[in-house]
Amino acid sequence: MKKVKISFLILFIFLISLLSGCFEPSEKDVSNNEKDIGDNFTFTALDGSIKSLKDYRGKVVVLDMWATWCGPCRTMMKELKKIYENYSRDDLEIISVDIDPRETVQDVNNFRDEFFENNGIELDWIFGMDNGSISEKYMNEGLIPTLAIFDQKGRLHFREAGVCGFVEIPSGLPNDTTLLAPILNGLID
Amino acid sequence: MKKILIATIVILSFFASSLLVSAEPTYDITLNPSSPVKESTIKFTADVSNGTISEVRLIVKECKDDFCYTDGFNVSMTKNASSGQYEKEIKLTHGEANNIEYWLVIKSNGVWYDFQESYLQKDLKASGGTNGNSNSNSKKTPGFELIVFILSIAVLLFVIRQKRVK
Repeated sequence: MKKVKISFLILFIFLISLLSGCFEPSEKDVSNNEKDIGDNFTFTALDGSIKSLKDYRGKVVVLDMWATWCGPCRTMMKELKKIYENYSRDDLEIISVDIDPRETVQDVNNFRDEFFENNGIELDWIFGMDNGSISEKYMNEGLIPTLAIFDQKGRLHFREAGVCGFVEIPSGLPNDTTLLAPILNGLID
Repeated sequence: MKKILIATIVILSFFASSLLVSAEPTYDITLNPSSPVKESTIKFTADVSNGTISEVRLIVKECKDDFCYTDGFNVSMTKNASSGQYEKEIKLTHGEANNIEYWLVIKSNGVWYDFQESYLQKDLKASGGTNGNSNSNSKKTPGFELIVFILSIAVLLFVIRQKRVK
């Protein structure tokens, strides 16, 4: 009789522990359901403030990793300008992050001024400096420019090293150069 | 009148000296060979003038049409005592690169001047001299396999003959 009681007790405890997972979710589970599933990174904006990808949830974010000495990055800037002008600020943001630790905010500002003087193009989107974490996370090939596109939830949707075009392939670049318009339209429409 | 003249000379000399101290160094770089080849060694020679130069650093980045490698060279150049020029040899490493970007960072009168914004660019020639696919494993003696094959047939024939004799 004693044995039956003990085995019944063990069975009862086992069943209770098994069923506990089937009832109402715990607080932890609720928070998991609403959990931010997107990526995150931080960078230092040119005004010195710390910004993060999370600040731009709800928008498509184009992350451009570059350096002022990089010739192909200049070509990329021209394509980024087209993208920036084509989409609303409610839909898309561009973040150009300088990944060269030698470079300073002054270098980036000088570059933007010089770019405007030489090309008549104002680089008026978000610029910042990488603290090493962005290049480590998204620049696997060690090449610039490298572009990463995050969807509205912050999930990495596209990543590629090398210059990409927006609607047309920039002159002098290979025929297999990636065009970004279909990718961005697919995310925003 | 004399006082004014002296004052003018003093002011002018002060102005001239301040200009000399604050003057940015200038440089001229030559490459040897002048038409460098991918993955080859290039000798950079720099003529640096203006100011008291205490260090000259050479920055070289390898690029292709649509990207640049973020690694690269940031090396101190050595002053040639006889010519007064700064020199450095660099061995390029990226086979895909088809141009280099290079510039100097110069310490003059204790101040660093970075000429990154006015970087220079040089196209790289493809390394020629090979026709088709040159295979580095082709160092083996040609026909070596054939010799082994003939020897094995000879051994086989010898064994068969010995059996027949028995």
